[in-house]
Amino acid sequence: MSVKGRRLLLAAILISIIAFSLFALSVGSADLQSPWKYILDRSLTGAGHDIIWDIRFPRVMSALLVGAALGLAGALSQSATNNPLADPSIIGTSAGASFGASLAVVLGAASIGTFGTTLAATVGALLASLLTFALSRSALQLVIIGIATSALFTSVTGILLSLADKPEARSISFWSFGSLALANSNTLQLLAPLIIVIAILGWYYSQRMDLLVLGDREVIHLGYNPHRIRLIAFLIISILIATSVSAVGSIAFLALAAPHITRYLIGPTNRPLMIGSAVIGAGLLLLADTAARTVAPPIELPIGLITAILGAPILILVLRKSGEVWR
Amino acid sequence: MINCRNLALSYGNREVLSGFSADFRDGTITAVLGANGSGKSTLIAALAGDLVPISGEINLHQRELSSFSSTELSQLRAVAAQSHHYWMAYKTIEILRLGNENVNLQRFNYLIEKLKIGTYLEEPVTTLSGGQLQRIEIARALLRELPVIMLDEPFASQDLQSIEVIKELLLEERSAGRTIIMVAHTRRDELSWCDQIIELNAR
Repeated sequence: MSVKGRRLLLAAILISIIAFSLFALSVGSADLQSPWKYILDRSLTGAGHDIIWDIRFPRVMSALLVGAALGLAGALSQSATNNPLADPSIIGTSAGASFGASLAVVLGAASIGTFGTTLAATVGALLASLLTFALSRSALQLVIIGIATSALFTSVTGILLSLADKPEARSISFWSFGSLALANSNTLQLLAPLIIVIAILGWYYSQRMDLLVLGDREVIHLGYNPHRIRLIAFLIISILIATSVSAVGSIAFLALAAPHITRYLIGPTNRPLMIGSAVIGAGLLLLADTAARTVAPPIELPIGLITAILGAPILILVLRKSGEVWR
Repeated sequence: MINCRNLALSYGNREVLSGFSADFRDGTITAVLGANGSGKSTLIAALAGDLVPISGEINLHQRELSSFSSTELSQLRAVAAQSHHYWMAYKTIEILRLGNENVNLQRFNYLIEKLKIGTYLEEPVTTLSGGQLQRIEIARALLRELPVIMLDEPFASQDLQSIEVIKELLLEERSAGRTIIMVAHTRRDELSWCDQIIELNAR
């Protein structure tokens, strides 16, 4: 697709997401009489204003930010390891983040949705990612050792939660499927600056990662260090994932699917891929979260399940349409 | 000028080459022959600086190869691998430009035309044949006009016409004073255009 075509397509998807965000503000378990009045005019006061701007708005924005962070982290993982199977849950990052956040909550060092949990999740994510990184000698080993690291951290987290007889332990279990139900304006204030700054860094750095497609040997011949390129990618992935996990838990599948869908639409070059994966990730997560809270109110469906139900058919369709050719 | 003295190399735990000495002079073409497993590709890897010898020495311009930084080496030698597997659908032109952003356009166009890459410049590399992919590797190695060029079986999956073209290109590189070292599986009598033929024995 031409550069112009890519831009048009991304612009169309972006506009649809903005339109859908407004729609998402208008729906919810509270049955408002005329939600659009409050959406279009923020100065109107009343219950409608509070529900839309204090409850739904932070949640919609959190879904967009976390979705973008997951899409971007997935694209970085696949490009860094030069492997279509990679995502932050395969290289150990997600399990490490969950471990860090759970440990902090169980020990009473931090409570859910605060900067303390984000910090603990970042430490956990970095620990697991760097362990995977340090033990691996090649891009392929990163994936295999990453799976082992993931299993290790997931098990330790499980044991930790089984042993903890605190009421928090139960609310921690929401991390296994992920949920945006606890997202409020504090979450948003924490997420927005971190994710935006790190995402821009990731986008900027991703151009260097294009070299990795040539294989490590050729990257070395060109005078670059492929391990250092991957290390920086892993640091960026860790912060993105830790921020997301500590705010809304681990949401499966999105990070794997978003980059594949994007590559099918606009090709594999990293800088456009990063933007596209963030946009697709944001759109998918908002769609999933809106469905999760409106399909059977007041019951909230686990969002990790909806992202898979939405994402899996699209991913399969995309891969089938690509035929023998990986995109 | 590259020279090797009493070189011993291993691939994994297996010693594939020992007591190897040779000179590769500027402006010459050397073909390295030998049966499978005789250490041809391992030798290229050592000469490219990818592999540290068990013993012996390799000198490039009278300086121990291991003393060069990776940035310095990247300005001195280019290596064309036999072929490379891609799963992401980068376009051929994107692959050619990666790491070669500052190459002059005239050089680029010349190589594209000679190696008949023009017809698939806009195609995704995932759809190309082995021979086409290999010509991309060769073009990448020749693009930057570095003093030393190493090629691993450049003729392996090429048709007769392409073999002639690659040969012509390598002879041009030699005229420009570059040192060319290639692994070949060709018969000895077909390599009369080379300046030196080194035959490795299988161990």
